[in-house]
Amino acid sequence: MSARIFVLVAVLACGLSLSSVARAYTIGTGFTEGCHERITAGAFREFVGLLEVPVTLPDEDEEDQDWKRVGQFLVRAAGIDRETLTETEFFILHSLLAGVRSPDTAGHSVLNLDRARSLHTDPAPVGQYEHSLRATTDDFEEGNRSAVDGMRAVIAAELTESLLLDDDLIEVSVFFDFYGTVEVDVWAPAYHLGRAAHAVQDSFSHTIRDEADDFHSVLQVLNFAEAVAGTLREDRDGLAHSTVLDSCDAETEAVVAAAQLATQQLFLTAGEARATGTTESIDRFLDDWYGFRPGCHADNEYCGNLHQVEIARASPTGPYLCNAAHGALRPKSLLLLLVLFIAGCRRRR
Amino acid sequence: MFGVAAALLCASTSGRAEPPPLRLGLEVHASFLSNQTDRSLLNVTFGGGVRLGYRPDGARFGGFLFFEQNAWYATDLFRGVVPGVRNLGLGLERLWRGELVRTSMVLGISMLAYDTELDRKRTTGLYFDIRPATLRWHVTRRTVFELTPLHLVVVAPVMHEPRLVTAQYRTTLGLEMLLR
Repeated sequence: MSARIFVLVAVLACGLSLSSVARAYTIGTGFTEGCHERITAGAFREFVGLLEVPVTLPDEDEEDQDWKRVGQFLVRAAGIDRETLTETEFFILHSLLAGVRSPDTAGHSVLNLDRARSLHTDPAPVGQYEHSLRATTDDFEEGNRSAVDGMRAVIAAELTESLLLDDDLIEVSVFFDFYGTVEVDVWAPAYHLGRAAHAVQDSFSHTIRDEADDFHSVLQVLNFAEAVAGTLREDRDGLAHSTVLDSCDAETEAVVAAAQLATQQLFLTAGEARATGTTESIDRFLDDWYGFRPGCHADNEYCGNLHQVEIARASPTGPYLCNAAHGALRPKSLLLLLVLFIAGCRRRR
Repeated sequence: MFGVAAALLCASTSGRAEPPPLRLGLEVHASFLSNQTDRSLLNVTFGGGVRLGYRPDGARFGGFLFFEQNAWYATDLFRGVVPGVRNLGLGLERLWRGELVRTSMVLGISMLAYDTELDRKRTTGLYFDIRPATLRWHVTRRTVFELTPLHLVVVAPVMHEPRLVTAQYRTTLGLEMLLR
């Protein structure tokens, strides 16, 4: 019986803590706003008029048309009217949105907690860099620098992948309620560009950037893996990941605008690299948005960026149920246990 | 079909001259969790059903026609209740321990009750329901309250790729009334 109660507590805790599970700028789900989709669609509007690349569309036979049905849903969820897009623009945006969602789901349900946890607490450094976070090995000030290097490598790799693919049409997994994982066609360059956009956007919600240079330089990289494990020591591991910074509401408006500008420039960079066949534009983009400014820490109020740090500290990520470092239950979990305790007492009467 | 055949067989051997012992069942159901691989942990569904059955008094076997509406709660791409499916099937039942326990099984068709993102309304597939143990308490001489703590229902309205097949672990409450 006690095992059942534990499972029930865990399920309820996970359900109520879903905003913590869906870290980074959130993707659109039943519980979270589609920040990634909104930022991507916003950047796409500015970029689509300049798009002059040959795009391979799937065949018109019935079996290959699932992408249209999936795409209609994704595009509508991103706040764009399908009727305003040509068939090619629609396919590109569908592929971008499938790509920008994929690092957070890998084609699985966001409520598949087992998958979500292994995806988001991947101990391999690249697993954290895909979300612009510190790896567990990125310690102290030097850890910020190595994390920024890791982010740059991930973005460069996705961009290069998007430029080098021979077969432009690929099948990727998208999760649908009740159906499970569905395979749909995407245009590979846009899909990988979407994955790069995810990392770029996360680098605004998962870092403290310098407001003085319009959020171009990175000062601090946040930490999810050790925060959620309950082993985070701020002086060594950096600031904890923050659920407030993950939102795209009024409080983070300026940072979200910068993320959208960077996403737009990412798209233009990819277009230029594809047109010229060189990676010069990629290097320029990374130097522009991924400069690291060392020496900004608590002692000097993060070089005048204390406001962002205060926002980050308002809602730091921690262990979902128990704090392993301190052996204490979280307040949310305490409330759940109290409810279950009362329910148990009532049953005994 | 075999449920009805078995029921008719039972009826023919009972040898009674009374009006046919038809029984009407009304029930509500809900499911909460899922253990399907690569699916959401939650599989929230709910709904209600009606069955019209034939089982002579004192007989252990019966057969019935069953219809239900099973609504689904979406959580992944959006949050909200969708009409889900309508299921229609034929079932066989057996009573145990002086009618205190009922085991039943239904096989039938499952029809989408709304346009999903991928398939049209009325797309039809299979439906299967197995209830190992339904606990029964007589409320009146003609009315029985039924509780099925846990039973497995497989709803598969879309059989072509991409398939829509869900396994539901339901709890069901109901009433069975003798119509004669």
